[in-house]
Amino acid sequence: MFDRNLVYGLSLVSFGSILSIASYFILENIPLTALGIGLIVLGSAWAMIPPYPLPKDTIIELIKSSCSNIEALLEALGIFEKAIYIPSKEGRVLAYVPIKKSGNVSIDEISNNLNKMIFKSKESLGIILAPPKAGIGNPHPVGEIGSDLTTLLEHALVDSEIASSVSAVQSEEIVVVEINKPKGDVDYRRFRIVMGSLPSCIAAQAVAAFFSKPVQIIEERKEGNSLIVNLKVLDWKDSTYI
Amino acid sequence: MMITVSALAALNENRLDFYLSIFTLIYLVTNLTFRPRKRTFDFIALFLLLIFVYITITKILEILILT
Repeated sequence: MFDRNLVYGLSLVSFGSILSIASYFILENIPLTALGIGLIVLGSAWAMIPPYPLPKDTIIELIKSSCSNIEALLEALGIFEKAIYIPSKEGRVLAYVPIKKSGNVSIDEISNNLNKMIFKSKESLGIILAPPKAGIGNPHPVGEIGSDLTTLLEHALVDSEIASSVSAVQSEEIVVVEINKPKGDVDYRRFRIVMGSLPSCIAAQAVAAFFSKPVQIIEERKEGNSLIVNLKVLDWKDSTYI
Repeated sequence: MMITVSALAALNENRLDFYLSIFTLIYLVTNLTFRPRKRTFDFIALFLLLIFVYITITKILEILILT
């Protein structure tokens, strides 16, 4: 697909390079050389803009509107159980929300049925939802950047304009994520109980994608301008939560 | 940047390092103000910053050597 920003940016860089080199060595004119260098800087900045940048407000509105649909579904079903974020084989992280728990079904069994919306096995019943996607407007969606957990969380939260900065500490199966100055949260009560707040929901997806293991939000609390989220990395064979 | 070049050229400014310092300032301030989305790490800011540091160090050394 034709990437306009890259092509025009690189054209400007090429023209600026020729202008600056010719002005400096042939014309010996400093202002024209500076103009050429300025064009190189402008062209490089233009080339670095992703192909379809969305306005920040649009990104947040898109994410909020997806939360309203989930809220309606959770309210219709009367669900109050906490969601389990499960990474699928395709890389997408989905949320399993139990309606009825039996304790006889492992998370592994659910992961084999993530293409369905309703999961029913033995006495267990639940729905599989697509949580608000952290990749909207982000040139590197969650799961593609895998260098370390903090980098992945930054791409998921900071690049999506959901938070100013983020840090994470892992202790055995618990991951504590500190989200500084979270913005763009939703007011849907049931969504917040089941899926967690919007920043926590996205953080849980990022952690699940990083470890390739199911994750559940244990606790979240506000401390000044920060949101502290405690996430538990679960085992695939765990059946306590289903 | 175009306005900067025009204005400084009108003032007969012929020091390239001066133009580069101004470009660095303009780029960093604009970047901080508008925070445009980028597909990679900001190499331009790093490059301009290194040039600015180099210019500053050479100027300081010139002053120190003269004194």
